[in-house]
This record gives sequence, structure tokens and C-alpha cells, in this order.
Amino acid sequence: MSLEQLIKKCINQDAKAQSQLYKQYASKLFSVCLKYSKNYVEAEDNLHDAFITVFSKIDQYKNKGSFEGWLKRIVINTSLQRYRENVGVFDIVNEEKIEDVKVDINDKDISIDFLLKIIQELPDRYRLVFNLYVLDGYSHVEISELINISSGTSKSNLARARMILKEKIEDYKASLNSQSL
Amino acid sequence: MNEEKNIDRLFQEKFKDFEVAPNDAVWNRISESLPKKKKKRRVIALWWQIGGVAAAIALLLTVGMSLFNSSDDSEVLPIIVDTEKTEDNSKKDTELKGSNDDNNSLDNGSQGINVADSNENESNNTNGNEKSTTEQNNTKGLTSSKTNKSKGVANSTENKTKAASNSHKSLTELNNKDNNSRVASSNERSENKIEEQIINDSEINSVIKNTIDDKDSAVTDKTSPNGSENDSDTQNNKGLEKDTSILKEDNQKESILDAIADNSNNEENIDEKEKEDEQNRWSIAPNVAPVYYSSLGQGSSIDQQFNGNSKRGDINMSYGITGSYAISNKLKVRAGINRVNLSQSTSNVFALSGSETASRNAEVSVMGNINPRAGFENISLMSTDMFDRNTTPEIFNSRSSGNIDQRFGFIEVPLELEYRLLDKKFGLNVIGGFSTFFLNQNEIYADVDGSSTLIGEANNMNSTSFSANFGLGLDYSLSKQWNFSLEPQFKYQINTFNNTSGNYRPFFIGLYTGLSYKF
Repeated sequence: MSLEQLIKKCINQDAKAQSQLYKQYASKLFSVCLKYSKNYVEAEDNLHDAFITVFSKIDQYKNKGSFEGWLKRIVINTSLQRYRENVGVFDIVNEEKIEDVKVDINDKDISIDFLLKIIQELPDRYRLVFNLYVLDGYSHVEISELINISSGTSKSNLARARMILKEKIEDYKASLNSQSL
Repeated sequence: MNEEKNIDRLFQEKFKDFEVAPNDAVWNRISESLPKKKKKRRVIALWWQIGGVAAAIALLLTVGMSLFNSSDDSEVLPIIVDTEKTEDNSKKDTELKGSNDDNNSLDNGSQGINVADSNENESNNTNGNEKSTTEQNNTKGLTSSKTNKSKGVANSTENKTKAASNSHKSLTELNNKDNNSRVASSNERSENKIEEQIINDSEINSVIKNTIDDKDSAVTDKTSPNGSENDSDTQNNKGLEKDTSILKEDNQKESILDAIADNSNNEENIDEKEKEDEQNRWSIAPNVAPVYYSSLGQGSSIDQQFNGNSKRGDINMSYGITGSYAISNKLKVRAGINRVNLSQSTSNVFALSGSETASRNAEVSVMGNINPRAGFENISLMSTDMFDRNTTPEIFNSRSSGNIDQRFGFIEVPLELEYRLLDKKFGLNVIGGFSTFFLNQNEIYADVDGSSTLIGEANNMNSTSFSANFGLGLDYSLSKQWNFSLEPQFKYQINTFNNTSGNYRPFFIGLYTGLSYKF
């Protein structure tokens, strides 16, 4: 079955097609959910909500652009929704200009699980900005519109996020080294 | 800056092919949250809908038939009546023994004999689909047994003997067996009743003997039991013929319903893909329709004397707006408001003004159900059929007859269900429902020599009336939101007039054309 047929059947609420579509994209989209969420449970919730949105709005997909891109945008939007709703829960951070932090990171032994863990441990907005800018290619202007912050804040949040991540990676490396020694 | 890029690149590279399969429970939760559209459920739902529509059609047909046949169903009813009378038949027979009226006693004889009839009908029912054929055979069998009797063959009431004699006839053996065994069993069941009946009948017969000259020769030749049996045979034949026709009707009805069901069934396969947009449940459609008004029976809404006059409905216009809501992909409920004008012209009418009627007999000078308007109090309307040209006063011969034009208008509020049979670019729907009418125009004109004069209004029109509506909807989808529709509809009017003469059952037909917008 071609993707087009699959989408058509999903528009007609064919249960089989919906299941197949889910199986085809769940893993990829769940990874996006994991990056944007602070833990596994929240990621699952976001994936659930995103797929409900996907199936209810699939008739609005006009075959323009990649279907996967369309799905991913829905997942990201769903993940951001949680933080738009809870504006007050944003961590209070110092948004003054932060100096660049230089860390040497050439280690390729760092596991993806660790990287995901430290992303999830980031304060909510740092995590969102880092994901949007670094991993999903949004510009600061787009980010500022998506999560209702100024683009300056987006930039400083990003720098903060990078710094925290570097620190954590260095700590991790240090602990590895001390273990190996 | 270099190092910053490094950290970005590190994450980008690591996450490029990052995929994690979510827990199966997530899908379970998702599929539960999705609108229920599983195939099995859909089929059940579809059958419910088809069943509902079939039931609605059957109900409307039943109501329609009973209304249509209300005054001339005397041909069909007697069998039912007879069956009901079986319980107290003997009573009636005793009452009628004393009666000298030969017609009465004959009728009662036949009523009594219909006991046997009704018993046979019961056993017929058990025969299921063979009904009509076996009955035809039965008729033959009974006819043959009748000939046996008239030949003077010793005639016993034992049915088994009958069976034996019948089996010599040219009827096929199988049918004969069916027949005879059926007759035998039914007669065994009702043996006692029949015996009573025979006694009663023979008594009636003797009355007949004494009183009827016409039938004397036929009746006196026979012993009383024989006579009564012959009567019963002929009655049986008649009764069975009626039965057969009724059963044929039933079969036709069944086959129509089957056909509808089959039809929808076929459509089901075609309609696997439902294109109905879940978001667009509402739609609104302005519509316009030419409507043609007429009546089913002979009769007149104006006066009894015009029952036989030829009447012609005119084509008028109806226009309005309808809103509909899609309960499901197949079923829509809709309501609206229409302005509808109807008119009917009764021809061959004399319209006479006051001075002319003064000399006429007051009995024929009638206004029927018309309230004349000021200045026309003395007008009289008469059907030309009332007069034999030779005997009528000359004044009528010198005049040319005219027409009465009755024009009325309503505000119609329809409430209808629309069921979708075919869902493609071209759609096909069946429509059923009812309308409420509020009278807002009521005029009667006299058309004489080409000039039309308003003479008054009908005084027998109800301000609120109803109609039962049936229709077929064809539509063509112009775009996702715009639909062009064409709906021939039949509207059978109920309670429009409160005092009509004859068998006046008005209806109108409209060809509703509309453009609907979904939102």
C-alpha cells in the first residue's frame, strides 16, 4: 500500500490503516517526544496526544511537503503545547548575557541514552529551545513565536542549555576516567 | 565558538538516527480514544440504519394504504370480519333461521360457511411459500368434488372419501396429496364446528327452499347437507381467490422491501469509503420547486355536486430554505421552511349571479364550502352534470360553463430524514418525513369566459394541516462544500380540509432544486 493510499484510508477512519500508520512512524516520533519531554511518561503522553491530533486532522494534510515532516511538526507542537499552557511553571532563570563556555568534547563513546537523559534534565524552556534550534533546525525568530519568548531570550536560553549540557558531559567523562583509572 | 559547534554537532549526529519504539500500551490508548469506526461495528450500525429506514417506509406505506383504502376496502375486509364472527356464528345462525328474507339467509349461509374457510386459512399459513399454488389446486380440487356431488355420487362428509375421489382427477398426485391432507386436517380440527354449521346450513337451506323461487331448482335437487356443502364449496373458491390475491399483494410488498434491502446492501459495498467530512455536519440549502397539486380519489373540496367534474391541478412554485444535520455518514435529519402555493381548477361549472338565481330552485343554488366575499353573496355555482340538457331551463343552455379556481398557499415546515444510498460525486438519497402547513392564502375564483373573478374563500380549510412526505434525492457534488440537489417529492396531505365530499384526498408533487452549502 502506498503512503497515499494509507493516508486516504486513515481519512476514512479505517482502523487497520491507522494501526499501520502508527507502526510505521511511532518509533521516529517517540524519539522526538523523548527529546522534548522531561521524562518517559510525559513523552508517552505527548505521543498519544500527537497521534490523536494526527488522526483527526489527517484530512488536512495536502500532500505538500513530506508527510513525516508534517507528523513531526504535530508532535513538536503537541510537546510545546504542554509548556504554553503552563507558562507559569517555567523555571525562573537569569536571562542576562551569558559568556561562552568552552568545553572540549570529542568523545564518541558517549551513549545516546546519556545525552537524552541530560537533555531531559534541562529546565523546560532550555530543553525546548535547544531541541528546536539545534536538533530540529528552527530559527530563533521561529522559536520566539512558537513558545512566546523574545528571540533574545531564545538565544540566551540556548547558550545556557549548551553550557549545562557541556558541564554534564564533562562530569560524565570525568567519572568515566576515574573509573577506568 | 568552535566548541559550541562541536556540542551541537555531537547531539545532531547522535540523534540523527535516534528511534525508540514506544510501549504497546500507548497504541492501545490511542486506538481506544479514536472515534469508533471498526468494520464490524459499522456493518451492524448499517443494518440498524437500513432496518430503521425499512421500518419507516413500511410504516409510512401502511399509514398511506390505510388512508387510501379507507372508504373502498369493503372488498377485502369480509374475510377478516368472518373470522372474527366464527365464535358467535351459531348464535347468528339461530337468529337468522326465522328470517324470511332470502338474501339475508343466503348471506348468512355464506358467513357460516366461511368458518370452514377461516379454518383453512389457518392451515394455509403453515404451508408457507406454497400458499398460492396449493390454493389454486385446492380450488380445482373443490370444484371437482362439487362435480362429483352434482353427478349424484353418494356424498359423505368424510373428507377422506373426498380425497379418494379427487385423486382420480387429472390433478398432479403430489398437489392432490398436499391438498387433501390439508383439507382433511383442517376439517378434522374443525369437525365439530362444521357439523354444527351443516345443521344450521341445512336449516337455512330449507328456509331458502320455501322462499326462493329462483334458486329452487338448484337447491331442491340436493339433500340438505349436499346443498350446504355445495354452497360452501363455491364460497370456498371465492374466499380462496381473495386469499390468493391478498397473498400476492403480500408477496409483492415483501419483494419490494427485499429489493430495497438488497439495494442498500449492494450500495454498502460501493460505499466502503465514506467521503463525508466529519467536520461538515451542517448544511444549508435554499431551494425552489415547481409543485403540482392534485387529488387521489374522485371528490371535491368545494361541494358534493362537483365530485364528478374534471379537475386540473396547476403548476405553482414553492421556495424555501432547508437546514440539515448529518447524524452519521448515511443519515441526515433536516428541517426547513417553505412557501408553497397550490391551486386546482374544477371545470364545467355554472356560475350564476343573484338575479339569475332568483328564479331558480333554491335547492340547487349552492355555494358549497365557500364563504363568499362582499358583493358576491348571491352567487351560485352549479355543476353542468347536474342538468339534463333537455329538462333544464334555457338559460343554462345558452351559457357556456366556466371553471372554479381554488388557490391556496401555505407556510410549510418540513421535518425529514434523508438516508444516503449512494455516496459518490453523484449521490442518491431516500427521503421520508412529514410537514406541517400553516394556511396563509385561501381564495376561490370563478373563471367564466376567460375572466377570473375572486368570489370568496373556502370555509373548510384548516389553518394547520400536515403531510406525509416521500422523496428521492439526487445530488451532485460541485466542491467539497457545495452540492447541487434535485429531489422529486410526493407529499400526501392530511387534514387539509375538514369537510370534503366524495373521496377527496389531496396531494402534491414537487421537484425540489437546491444548492446546499456544508459547514
